[in-house]
Amino acid sequence: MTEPLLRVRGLDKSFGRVAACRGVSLDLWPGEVLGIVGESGSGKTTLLRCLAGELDPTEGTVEFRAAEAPFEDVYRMGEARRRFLMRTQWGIVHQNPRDGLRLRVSAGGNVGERLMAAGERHYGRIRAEAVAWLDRVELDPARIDELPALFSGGMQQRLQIARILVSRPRVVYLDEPTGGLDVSIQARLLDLLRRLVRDLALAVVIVTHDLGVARLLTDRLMVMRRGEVVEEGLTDQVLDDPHHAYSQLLVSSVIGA
Amino acid sequence: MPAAIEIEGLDKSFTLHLRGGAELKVLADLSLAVERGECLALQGASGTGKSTVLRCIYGNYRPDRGQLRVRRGDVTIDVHAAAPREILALRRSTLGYVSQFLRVVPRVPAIDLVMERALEGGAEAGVARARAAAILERLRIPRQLWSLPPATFSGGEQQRINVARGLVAEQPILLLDEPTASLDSDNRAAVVDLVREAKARGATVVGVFHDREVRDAVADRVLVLDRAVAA
Repeated sequence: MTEPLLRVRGLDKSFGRVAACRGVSLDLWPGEVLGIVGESGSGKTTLLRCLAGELDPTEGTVEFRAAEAPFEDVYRMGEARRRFLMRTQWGIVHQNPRDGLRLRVSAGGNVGERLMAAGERHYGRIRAEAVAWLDRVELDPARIDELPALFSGGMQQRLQIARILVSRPRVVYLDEPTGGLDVSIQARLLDLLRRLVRDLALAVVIVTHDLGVARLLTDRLMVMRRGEVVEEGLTDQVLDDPHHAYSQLLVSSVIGA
Repeated sequence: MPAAIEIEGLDKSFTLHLRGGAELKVLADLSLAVERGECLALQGASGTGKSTVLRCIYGNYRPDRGQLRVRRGDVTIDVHAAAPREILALRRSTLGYVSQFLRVVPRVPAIDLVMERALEGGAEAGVARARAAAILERLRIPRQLWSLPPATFSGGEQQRINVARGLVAEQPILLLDEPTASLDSDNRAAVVDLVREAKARGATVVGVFHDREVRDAVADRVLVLDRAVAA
């Protein structure tokens, strides 16, 4: 536990002439939950996708360390290696479940996919694992053969989580995991995420615009504005003693966070 | 033997960017030391920075200047200079904090919220649950409430859940911000007993106790804070 597992230095990402992220550096340690907050368009999701191997940064490095391995640059390793790490070492829970699930494949098939990608071929074992993980994220295992299109928004979010956790990743990236969910469903998902983080010693990066979610779920916060990190620190430091004018505006604009 | 907590030259101000950059100076050049096993009560009019001192020690507020040395065994950590990960580790191992507000994940039963703190402190699940049950019992929370989320509890019940969360891990340093506010006399007495027991096992306590009886019952020494001179 003496080394981070993700190391980001001087990350820039531009789309044409628009700079979505500028000069972002961070370390993520095993078991740590890092929140990225800021208003829409601040570059949060772009940063998350750069960390998760989905978007090649314009400048800077994203390095990941697999268990008992040295740091590897995510965008300079071979395509095959990156795809392998993306399927086994980390996963991204998308804001829109349609981006993270295969809607024409059964719930069980969605969960089993990453196991197969990691080389598991035994049908019985894959199905047993799928059942176990559906249960773990509080989805009824009896619905294993149903298509996710029939699930509610909250159930689809939990299916995405099961789909990733089945491969025992070291990092999970979450993009607005509670956005668009009813408040009671949000609370349930928050509770589930907290327990999973604690029990599996996961490292998590979570993008959210909801400071209440950030307070309850994260250890550390980065506040982004116009692509730059304007403030960072322990979550309760940033929320209770914000120093930057923009952080103060964010915190003061929230009702009861 | 060095003190459990040593504060030296602490300045803390708040710059209110949304109020035209007005600066609120709360602590100016504060120094204090608390010995192991001692209970220091912070006293002073509202706005003199009593809670701010506790929050600085807990690493919740970031000071402008000064040292905040907290001792754990043979190791001394300056909270002001420590990295976030070090502060989190220090909180889990060493710093118990009872705040004025209960902020928790909705839907989680009261006993789990208390038990969670014992787990973070390193206790095993069975031990953590037993300790949580014991302290809820001591704080006179009716058993039928243990399995319910505290959102619907009365103010006094919520405050006692907060006290239980702060004390259950039996950390060597306790920071108590009005732990008996909104409690009736029987419940106040229960909290006083718990704080005294913590001291008896060697815990160091820094607290804000509005209630004079409570202060007299637990504090070894009182430090009166004056309003910092405006910069």
